[in-house]
Amino acid sequence: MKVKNILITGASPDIANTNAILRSHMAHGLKLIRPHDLEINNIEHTHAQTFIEFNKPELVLLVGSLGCASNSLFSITETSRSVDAQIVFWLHDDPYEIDFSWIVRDLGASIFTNEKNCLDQYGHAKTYYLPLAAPDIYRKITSNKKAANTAPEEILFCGYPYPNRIEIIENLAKSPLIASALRIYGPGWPSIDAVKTFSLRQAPISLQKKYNEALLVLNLGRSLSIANSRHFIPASAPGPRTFEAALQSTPQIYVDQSREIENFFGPEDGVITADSIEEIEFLISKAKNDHNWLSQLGEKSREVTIKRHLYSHRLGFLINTIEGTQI
Amino acid sequence: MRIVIYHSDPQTANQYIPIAIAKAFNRISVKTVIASHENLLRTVGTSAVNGVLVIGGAGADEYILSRLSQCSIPKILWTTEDPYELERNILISRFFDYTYTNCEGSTSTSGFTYLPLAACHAGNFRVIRPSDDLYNYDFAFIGTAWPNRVAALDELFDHLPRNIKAKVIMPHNQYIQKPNLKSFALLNKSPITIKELSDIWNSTKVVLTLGRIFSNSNKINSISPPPRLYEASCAGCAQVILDQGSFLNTKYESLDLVKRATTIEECAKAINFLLENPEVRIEMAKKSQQYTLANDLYENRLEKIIYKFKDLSEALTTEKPLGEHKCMPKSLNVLHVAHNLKGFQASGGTELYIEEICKNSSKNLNHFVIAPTSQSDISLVRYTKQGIEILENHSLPIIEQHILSSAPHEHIFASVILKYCIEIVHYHHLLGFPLIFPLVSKALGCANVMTIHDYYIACHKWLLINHLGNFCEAHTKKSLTSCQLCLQADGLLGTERNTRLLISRRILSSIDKIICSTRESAVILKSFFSGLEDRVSIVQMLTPGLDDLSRITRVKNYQTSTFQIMPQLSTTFSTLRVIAIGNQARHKGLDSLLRIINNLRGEDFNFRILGADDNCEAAINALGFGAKCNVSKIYDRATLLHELTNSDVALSLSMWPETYNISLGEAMAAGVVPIATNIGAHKDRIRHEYNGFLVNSAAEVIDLLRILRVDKKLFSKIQVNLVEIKEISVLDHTNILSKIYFNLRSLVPDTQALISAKSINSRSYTDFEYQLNDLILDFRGYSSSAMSVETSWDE
Repeated sequence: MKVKNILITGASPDIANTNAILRSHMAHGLKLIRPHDLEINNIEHTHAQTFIEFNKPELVLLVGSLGCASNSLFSITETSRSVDAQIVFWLHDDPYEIDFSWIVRDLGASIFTNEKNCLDQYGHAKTYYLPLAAPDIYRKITSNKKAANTAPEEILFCGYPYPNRIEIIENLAKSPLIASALRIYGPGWPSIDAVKTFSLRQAPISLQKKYNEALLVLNLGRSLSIANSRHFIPASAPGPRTFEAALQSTPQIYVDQSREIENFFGPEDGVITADSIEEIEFLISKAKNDHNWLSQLGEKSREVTIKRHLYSHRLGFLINTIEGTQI
Repeated sequence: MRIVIYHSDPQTANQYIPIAIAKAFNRISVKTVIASHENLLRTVGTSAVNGVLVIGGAGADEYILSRLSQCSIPKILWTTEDPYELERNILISRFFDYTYTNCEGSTSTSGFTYLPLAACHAGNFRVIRPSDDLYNYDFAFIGTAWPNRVAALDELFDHLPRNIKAKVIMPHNQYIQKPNLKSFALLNKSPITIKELSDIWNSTKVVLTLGRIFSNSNKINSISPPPRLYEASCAGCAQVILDQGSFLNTKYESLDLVKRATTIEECAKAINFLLENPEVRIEMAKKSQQYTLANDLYENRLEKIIYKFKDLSEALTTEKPLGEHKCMPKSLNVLHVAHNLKGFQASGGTELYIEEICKNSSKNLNHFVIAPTSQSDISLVRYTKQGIEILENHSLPIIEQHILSSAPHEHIFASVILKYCIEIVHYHHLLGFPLIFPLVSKALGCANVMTIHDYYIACHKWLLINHLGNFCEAHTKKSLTSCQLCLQADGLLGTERNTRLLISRRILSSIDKIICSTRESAVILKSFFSGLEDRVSIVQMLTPGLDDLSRITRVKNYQTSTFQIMPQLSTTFSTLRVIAIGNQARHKGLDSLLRIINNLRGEDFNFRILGADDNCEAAINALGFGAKCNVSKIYDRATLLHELTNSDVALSLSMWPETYNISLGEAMAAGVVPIATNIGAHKDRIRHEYNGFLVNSAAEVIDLLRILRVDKKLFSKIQVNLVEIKEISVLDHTNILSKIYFNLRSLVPDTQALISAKSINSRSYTDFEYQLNDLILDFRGYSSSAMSVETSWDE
């Protein structure tokens, strides 16, 4: 059955979740695929219950994290049930908070999780794998060409200094070639010998430009769990910045044990997996010396992202699944 | 055949092993159910299964296993961590009919039977890559960073080509030091799934296996192959095994399916040889894979297990039960959980109710009650026809309402459930106990019943009286804003309300039958929590001593009919006798009662108060009502009957939505005209102006009393109509409860089998290490005070 009225809200308050902007990108993606026959409202978590009570949406999509106790999740879900709204979660902090799955397990909700390895952790709930993506609107920030040599030496990493990331950067810093090229951005980064770290939070648009200008982007996963001590479920899915950097036409060096990335970008699609310092050194040298190779990879990564990895694609899958047209 | 598979370890990255075993069972047409800690015993109770296969052992919870051991179904343990956890596994094995060990070297010490772990076709099998250019890595080692492994790898890299493309993953944790290889920078320590591990093995030319020299049982080193050997072989790679500690004894070596080395030099030589000779290497991988597929998949192991289950099953059907801890075959053991017990502290309707159902139920029910009996004691008692017998006393303080989980309380609770073979737990109140008790009892295989005596499950202010002293009506409000204001007035943040309700919803999900005494209390409960419809039953609360009360009614009706014959007597109807029964505290409308008495002090009314608290008595004395108002704090049955016989009107002025109000029923059954506040169960029990009066204020009560004093016609009409009310007797009520209990028995595993002498004598229940809350609670860490041992939800 076709959904006509959907509310998108956070699974926790925006104040507790720095990824709240993703919700706007999701709403925009949904609008692009269903511009005429779907009413879309994007309401902050704190106001969602009242909205549901008075507007009675057919579908309530709760996005984000279950790990924040200070919220109104109970009243949002109970009110949704009282107005017969279908409850759908799109959880993007799996597997790091998977031990909290009990909160949504018995609600009769559909669960979309960013982590394939968590699909069987939600009891009898209907679960689907749906990683995050790149915002459709970011297509317009830069052209499909990389910026001309504005930062030709730079290997850019932007993200929180999780312990595993610090460990990897410390290891990479042992290579003078890598250390001299690395630029690390993100709030709270400690100083690391021989590497330029900037303990700054980057505004989203500014980050996209930086991605576009960099020679290469370093992609490091996270392995800091908040509540994942039951089965220690490994993370495998690429984070949203993978798709954002790819959209900005810059090839990425992807350091992760999991090969799940290969289901998103093929071997020639501009996201290159690396296991060792030597491989990374080789890639940097090649990138510096072979601009054609670099530019072809960058364009391919943008092309693949525009074709398959925007929020409009993800929301298309979600809404089709819910409406029963794609199970 | 249908087998329950249960992984007993509370924290494990090896969750894939039971899944692999289940898939193997399914491939040979044996049905399986994979059970969790929370639903193992319920699964055993509700499914037609032929046996339980427990994987793991060492980390198992003894309470769950002990209860499992009481079930008359074959139980097999298959250990995964021998010899490292052999001591613990030997202890755990007493709960099982048979034990297999993953380690051949452990058999002589333990008496277990050797059954190695294996590979899973669905999870591990990959097509072997036919040529060198299709491989991603030359060499791989993937395994926990035990110190001997780190040292061996460091030395090995000195002997391998400098440009070797290696994949090394060495997870470490707080107990295992971070590996720091001299010649190889480990970029990433994050774990991966078995599926991805199989992909890596499949895309690696030579995979190294290194033993682990570390053990909790230091006397034995492993001499059996780890499952990695079979899994990697199944994934299609060539393997070299560096055996520095005589840990391996396998056909793979004797059949030349793997290369075995005993020194680093030999190991490097073998790796280099295989890298230089791809045809030899790929052929070796093929032979190894073929051998694994023929001999070392889980399917190959399961034949033995299936035969063993059949043997055990036959033995069970012929074995005659013996021993002292026998549960009565046709009886049912019920444990009531209460916040208080009659006879220990001042008590009210709930305590009276529990005593009535325990003393008056059918012979085939054995009733136990656990309750705090003082501020620092918890008692377990058994009710018999003869009276109350104290079975256990534990010095444990009652806990505050804000505490969700308290291991000492739960420990005692779990011990009681096991020791007395409890099958049904009937919750009357959780005040003074941890809120998670129902999850514990369900995990231990009990069926849970909850009677809603008040609204503690919805709010720690269980009478729903808010910070302003009024009925909050929170159930009618969709948002939690009013609740937040109420909590904030108590110095809390207010946002804790959401957490409390999420947790309560989880607790309620473990209750199999929720009993409400009237429709209104069910409505209030269901307004808080959706999805309860199928589990809520309305069972009218009993009224104790109904026969005595009915006799009073007959006397009154006689008087009423006399009056109808002689209507002129109405003019002589002088003093109206008004009674208030039950705990006359503030929430019962004490303020209103005092105002009513004060306003009518100069008129022809007499008031009788039974059950005054200290505040009530002090206020009455201070107001100087004299003979107009007679107060008793504690009253016995004879006094109650006497006073009801001599009363005309009964006041029930509760400010909170009573869930039944036994005192109201006593008055109505005795033909005393009721005036009650228009909330909660009162609305279900009184038809306004037909068999009583529903009021919204003290003023309405005063006006009504003045009318009733003079309007004898109205008075007698109500009294006559009261005769129609059918209160339920204790016997009828307990019969309904009994049916509920016995119906729920189908959810409980068959525990008629005896606890074997072995399990009883070796260790008592209180010696068990309590860890159930960790197993069944995933919300540890959810609230802001996440890290404390006692997780609280409201502070």
